[in-house]
Amino acid sequence: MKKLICLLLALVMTLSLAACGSTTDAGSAPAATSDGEKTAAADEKIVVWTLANDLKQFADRYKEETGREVEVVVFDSADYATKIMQTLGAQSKDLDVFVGEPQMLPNFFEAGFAADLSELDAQVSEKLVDYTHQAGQDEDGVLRAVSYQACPGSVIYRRDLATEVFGTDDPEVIGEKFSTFNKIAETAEELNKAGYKIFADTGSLRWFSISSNPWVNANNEIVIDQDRLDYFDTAVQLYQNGCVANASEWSAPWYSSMAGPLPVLDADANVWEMTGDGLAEQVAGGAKTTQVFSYVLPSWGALIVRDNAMDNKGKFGVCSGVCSFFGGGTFLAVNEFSDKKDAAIDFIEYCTLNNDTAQWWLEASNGDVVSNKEVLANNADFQNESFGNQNTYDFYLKEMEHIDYSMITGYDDACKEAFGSAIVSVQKGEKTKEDALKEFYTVVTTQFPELVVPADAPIN
Amino acid sequence: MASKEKQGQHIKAGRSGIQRLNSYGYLFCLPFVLAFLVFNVYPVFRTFQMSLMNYKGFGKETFVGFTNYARAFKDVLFRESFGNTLKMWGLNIVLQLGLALLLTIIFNDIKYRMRGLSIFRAIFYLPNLIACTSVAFLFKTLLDWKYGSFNQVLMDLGIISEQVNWLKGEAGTAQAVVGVVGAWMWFGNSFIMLMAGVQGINNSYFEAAYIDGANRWQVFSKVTMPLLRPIMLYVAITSLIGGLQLFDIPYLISGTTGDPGRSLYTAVFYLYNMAFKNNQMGYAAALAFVLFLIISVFCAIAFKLMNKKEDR
Repeated sequence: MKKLICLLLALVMTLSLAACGSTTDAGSAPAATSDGEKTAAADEKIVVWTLANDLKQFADRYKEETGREVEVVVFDSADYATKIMQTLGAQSKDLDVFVGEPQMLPNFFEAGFAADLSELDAQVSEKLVDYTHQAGQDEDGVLRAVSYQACPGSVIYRRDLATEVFGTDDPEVIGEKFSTFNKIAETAEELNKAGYKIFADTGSLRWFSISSNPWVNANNEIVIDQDRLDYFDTAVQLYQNGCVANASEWSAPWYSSMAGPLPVLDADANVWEMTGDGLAEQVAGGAKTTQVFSYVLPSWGALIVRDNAMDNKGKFGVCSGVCSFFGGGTFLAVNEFSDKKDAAIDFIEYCTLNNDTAQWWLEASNGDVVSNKEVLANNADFQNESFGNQNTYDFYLKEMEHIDYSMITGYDDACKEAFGSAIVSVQKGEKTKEDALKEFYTVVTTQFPELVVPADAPIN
Repeated sequence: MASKEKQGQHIKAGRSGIQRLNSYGYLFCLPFVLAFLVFNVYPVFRTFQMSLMNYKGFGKETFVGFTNYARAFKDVLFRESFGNTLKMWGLNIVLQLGLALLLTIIFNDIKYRMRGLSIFRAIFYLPNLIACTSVAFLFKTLLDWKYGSFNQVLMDLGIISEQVNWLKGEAGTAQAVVGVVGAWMWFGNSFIMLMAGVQGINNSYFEAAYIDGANRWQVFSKVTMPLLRPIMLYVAITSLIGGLQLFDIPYLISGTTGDPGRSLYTAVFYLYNMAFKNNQMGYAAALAFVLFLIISVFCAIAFKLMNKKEDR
């Protein structure tokens, strides 16, 4: 008897290990359908996995208007991509719609997670901003993801400081001062003399790293053109001449700088240990202070500046920089393994291609830039009081016309990171520019052996 | 005759009883064996298969033979990261073993007769029980160059005149910090191993040595060390295997960047980035096997060196 009990316990332990990691269908399985046959979408609840809370509002509105249930599950952005890769790697049917940012999409497409959305292609091409259409296509040009938002970038600057230093806050005039890297360097010196810092840190310049050419050309050569060399030199100059506030992006000083004066920080200050209250105490205690003149961010960044501006609300404006760029954005895709594809596509169509929904989101989000061109054009005269009554939608619509998606490559993130490290090593005096660039080429070609250093690389 | 038949029957009955017991033994081993096969053996073979492929961790796998291995041996960054690992582990093992040996000698000295060994053993082992994440964040806070307690104390004592940037300054300093942190975490474990080894040595050897007029150093070098060699070898080799796979502390203490200047970038850190950041799973799998080969060679060398003198 004892032996039998022991055997049973051992078996239970073994079976418990086997049960780990099994995937099960959530809820009841829908009726099987043949190819091409539409499912009864009306009664089916679909599940959406996302990394931001926006889609909860879309889901609520969708239910009010159509009666269809949508369950939105929000994951922390740091865990999201891993969660999707693991879950859909097991061909799970636990979700029907998932989201991805542009840099995640190529991996999702290659892994076969995103269903074909060709039936929406004509509408997307007609209604939505061009770069979002391209970003949602796989390498064969098949549409697999659609976004309800566009994220064009801009320089978000302080109008009051611009008037004080330059005599004007006109976006055209200020934009001219950010139109090339050399002009940025001159503007930085001018602001520094007046006691202001052009940027929170030199990382702001990275958004302009794709200005003239892609990081890797059609011959798999790594491209460091004159623009990138100017970017390099400007970043080093701004750092070494004390023209930036040393408030790293996303740190407490970075947020605090949007609301008002910031204590002058050393280049080596550990900003990650600082708090907003601590900084406010230092300012109140009479510490030497400065103010940050501008931030370079995509359109969602403008909302962050607006939300953290406090007493500075209304004092900001947006203007162009060295080049048009975009960053981030929430793209919706249908799970290739879902049994409710039609219901999922219906939800995506509602969120992204419905003019009323786009107009509603534009108002409900209080400033998010939608991808719908017609809705943006209809709101071109909207005066955004958070940005000095500027016609921000009109501005962003024009910026997006210059975004060239063909410049984006799968090597961009690695190149930007390695280039950034090279810049930092020269900023801190650890390497010469030539050694730093050699290191950059070594790092990138080691990570990606298929890439080559061109004969005219600026290291010889 | 009848009694022999009865004996035969008894023996036969005995044999089936032993066989029954053996069957139960196999059955009780089965859960562990199954789990071992699934979670240890299968991943090794699957990793080797991946190492022969061009594979991102998703999508298609394309067979490329030993191309990944050839790339690993030419990879400048892998060599650099392995060099970093050796430096950090080298300092770690010297401090770890040195401190453990010293404490072992003190606690085992028959003249000192130190008391409270069990309490001290528990205290020394405590750092090993703290999660690596907590250790990394603890030392990041203590060693912060501007506000960290360590710099404050050293300046108050007059040992340094200005703050030292322990973690983001010189590459060598950052590597030394990781080595010291590792030694702090693991010296307790080594101490327990060495104490167990020393306590296995008959006290009469020490007594005889002292009676013959040997001093402490002679007792240590001529009696303790030779008899402790097998345990030392075990500690050294297990430390080597673990140390060359160093990842958690440098990864966390550098804020996942490997800075300053990639000095905290270890071999496994590099492998991890290849697999999960650069989506080059096939190459990362090859790196894992190359690392395995390197560690095996190092272990073989260590084994030969430590046994050489004994053979003589």
